[in-house]
Amino acid sequence: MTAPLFQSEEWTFESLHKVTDAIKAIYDEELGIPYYPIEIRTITSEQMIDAYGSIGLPFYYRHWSLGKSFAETERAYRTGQTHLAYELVINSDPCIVYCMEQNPMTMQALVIAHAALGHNAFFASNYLFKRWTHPQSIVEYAAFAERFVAVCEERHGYAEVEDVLDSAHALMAHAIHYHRLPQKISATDEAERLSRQIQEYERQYNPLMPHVEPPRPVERPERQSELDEPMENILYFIEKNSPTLPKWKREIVRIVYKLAQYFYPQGLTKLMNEGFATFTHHYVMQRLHEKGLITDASFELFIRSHVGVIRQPNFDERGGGPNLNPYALGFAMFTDIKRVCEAPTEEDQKWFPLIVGKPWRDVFRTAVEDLRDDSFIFQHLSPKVIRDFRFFRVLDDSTEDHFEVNAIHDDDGYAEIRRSLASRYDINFHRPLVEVVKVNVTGDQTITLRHRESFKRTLNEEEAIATMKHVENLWEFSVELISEDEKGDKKLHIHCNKGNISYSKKYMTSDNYVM
Amino acid sequence: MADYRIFDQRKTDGGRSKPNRERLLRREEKTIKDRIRDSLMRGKLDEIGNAESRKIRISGKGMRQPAFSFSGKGIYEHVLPGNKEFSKGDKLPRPPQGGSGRGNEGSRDGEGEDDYVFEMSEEAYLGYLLDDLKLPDMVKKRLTGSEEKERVRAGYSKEGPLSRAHLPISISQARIRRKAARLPRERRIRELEQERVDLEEVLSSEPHAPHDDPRRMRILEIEQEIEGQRRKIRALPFLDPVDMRYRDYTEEPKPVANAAVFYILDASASMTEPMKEMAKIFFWLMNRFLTRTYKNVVVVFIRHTSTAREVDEETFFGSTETGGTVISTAYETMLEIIDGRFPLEEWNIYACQSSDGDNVHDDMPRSVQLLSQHILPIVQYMAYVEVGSGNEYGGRTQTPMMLHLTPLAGVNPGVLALARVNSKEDIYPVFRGLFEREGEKS
Repeated sequence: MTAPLFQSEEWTFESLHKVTDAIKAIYDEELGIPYYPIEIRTITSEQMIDAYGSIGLPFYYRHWSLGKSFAETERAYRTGQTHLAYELVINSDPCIVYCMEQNPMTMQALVIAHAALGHNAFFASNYLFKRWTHPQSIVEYAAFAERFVAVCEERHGYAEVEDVLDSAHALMAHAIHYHRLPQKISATDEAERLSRQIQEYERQYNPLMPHVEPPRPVERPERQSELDEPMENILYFIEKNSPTLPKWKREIVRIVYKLAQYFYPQGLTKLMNEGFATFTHHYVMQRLHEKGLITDASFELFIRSHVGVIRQPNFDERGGGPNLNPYALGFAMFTDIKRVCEAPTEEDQKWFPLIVGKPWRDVFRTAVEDLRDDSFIFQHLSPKVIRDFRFFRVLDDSTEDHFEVNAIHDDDGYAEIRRSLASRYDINFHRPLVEVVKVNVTGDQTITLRHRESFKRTLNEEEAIATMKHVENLWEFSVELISEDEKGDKKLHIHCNKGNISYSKKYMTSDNYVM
Repeated sequence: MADYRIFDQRKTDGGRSKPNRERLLRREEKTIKDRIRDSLMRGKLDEIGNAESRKIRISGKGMRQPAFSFSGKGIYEHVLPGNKEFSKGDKLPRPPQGGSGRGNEGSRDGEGEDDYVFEMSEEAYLGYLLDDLKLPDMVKKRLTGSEEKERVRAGYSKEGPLSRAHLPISISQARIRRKAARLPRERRIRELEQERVDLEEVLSSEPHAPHDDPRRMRILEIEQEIEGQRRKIRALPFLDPVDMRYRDYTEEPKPVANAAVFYILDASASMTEPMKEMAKIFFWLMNRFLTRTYKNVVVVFIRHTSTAREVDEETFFGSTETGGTVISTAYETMLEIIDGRFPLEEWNIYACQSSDGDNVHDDMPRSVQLLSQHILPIVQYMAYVEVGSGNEYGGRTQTPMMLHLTPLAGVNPGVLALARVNSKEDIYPVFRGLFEREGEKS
């Protein structure tokens, strides 16, 4: 009988090494999806909360919103959301994982299995991350970004820099080219570019003279006013086409959309990522226990934490949806895929003919590499999982005062539920698609943004007005937003010009729509 | 597979989020100031400066970052877990609020949840507290000499003349930069080396492989690439302007004079505990204020009953010894000390006296004489703060001290200030009143 790797819950560096070796051995042998080199950092709890404040990156620019998230994290942690301990891992090469000082050894093992292997492998193998991010250079890039912003603060003052960052952040969800692949310029080159900017900036600084911008050659975006294609990356559009925005501000806008690009895949893969990492930690800890490498007491401690994390409250309880716990659903789905591969039922044969009987690790690998949350659900959400969660679907029409159940966990309902659930993980579900469609090049430089309703889902007007002020702040000329309904009729029009905001909306009495 | 490393980061400096929090505080400055003053006015003074009082709660509503979002209106289909008994066609009432989670819920009304609680440092707290207070203008008139400034070391800056360059730090920065830039290339070189070793191993077991065997070609390619990477590493500049650090200096006003402050506390039996507490708080504020304003402040504590003694801070606030009241003894002691230790050419003298207003009857003439002829002529400023319980003299006649000091204050405006504190709520406003800039007194 092998001896357990550790007896006491007081961790030591030696036990960390032993456990990491054992976990890697099991993972490499039995799961095997490639991952980046691992860097484990032991930190104090203060440092952990600090790290959350900079989104886990060792460098990041300073902003008050991160001060706010510090407070949120601290409060969340104090009120018992301990899964935060193994949440803090970033998509980088090497993959940096944080082990908090106060964690008992069992928790450290869990962190390593969950984050250093699970999340790491997901970051390293999933197509979205490969396409949209540069993990080798993100740390370096963030360091330069931090530095550049600091230099700007020294030159132009906190308030001005905060002003630009605030406005850029407001548009961070509209900072991606969804329909075009990102340019090939690597993040190292991008970092070098920033470094050159910093140097040039510092050399130019002459405290005796007020900073004077060299006249910027005017680049007319389009000869005509209408864009050939609507531009969904609003920040990019502003950075490239703003007639008067000073160079340093444009550089900051660029930093923000580069970082938005880095974070983009994470929003689309939360379910899969947590599901895979949770499955990994559960599988590995179980195997360690089977092999006698962890004690019963340790395993029990682990199970208690695990069960807490994968709990999905029911619809009539707090936290009972429609936002579902990604750990719960993700873990259930991966576990189910394994089941379908190893012990399929007739139902599985019907629903998943392509994967029944295949080696589950190969199916996992394909999923992790090629899918994202919405396609993952489409392809792998099984009737069994739907029954386990007792999913049902309700129609929520805001003109009615009740919900109507229109699908439950029966034969008629499975495909419907799956379809609706998948669409919830689509990028356009949580945030409206707003695009730049027109620029008044020959006149007052007004840019026009357009939103189109679908399913009669209207924009939050207060937020829209506040955001348009930020757009105007960056564009430095007047801006307008038009929201159209499905027929193409203009429902909402917001216009911002030098602090004057006008907006109008139409009442569609024929549809009983009152706003 | 890939290797791994473990780093102990615990000893490196934390506080990365400190600048972010500072920015948040700056944004909310006005709210914070109001909150602090508010809590002081409401009489929580015995907690001045302690950790609890430094926790400021700010509503989260003011810190929202806007973004385009949905109103929540429209048509949605939600998948919910935990069906107990519903079938298709059943109707459910809407969940009370915030339960629908569609798009954006709009702002929830300020409840504990959205609030942020910050604990600020004592330094910051005092900053807000004592922010608008300035030394009475009177003080400036008495300062001798011009306003001199002196250069003081102030850390490091990223630019400066070469004579001020700090080479060890600059080189250290350069090393970090070069290392960071090297790492990806070194890793690539390792990968390539590994590939080459593998290929060579394979080829050595096939001695009759042709010369143009693709694997040999590949080895040549690898060698070229490795050389290329190495060249790039060598090309990294050893020292780059961005690495440079320079010793930085800043100019600070030279304190023209030193300040000596005399705190006089009446420890007689007629000063009750609550009164002593109020006095204590007042002295605490005074002390904090002066140490922020003057570079060098020497504090002298004089405790008196029917005799006066110079004591240390702990005894001053803590001692329970008690007795009768002869105020002149305190004044005499103060003058002796000034004579012995604080020559007036070099020291600005301040005094702050706290008493319940009582004095032995036949001591009054002597006390007044000492004040008007010896003390007031030489101090920059003296504050006399009378503490009471509010019941005793309120509405009735003034205390003996107040009666006699009022004319003195009239004759020496700007030098002697009188104030009365009846309860804790009064302390802070009185304090500010004594120190507000002239012309701003309300």
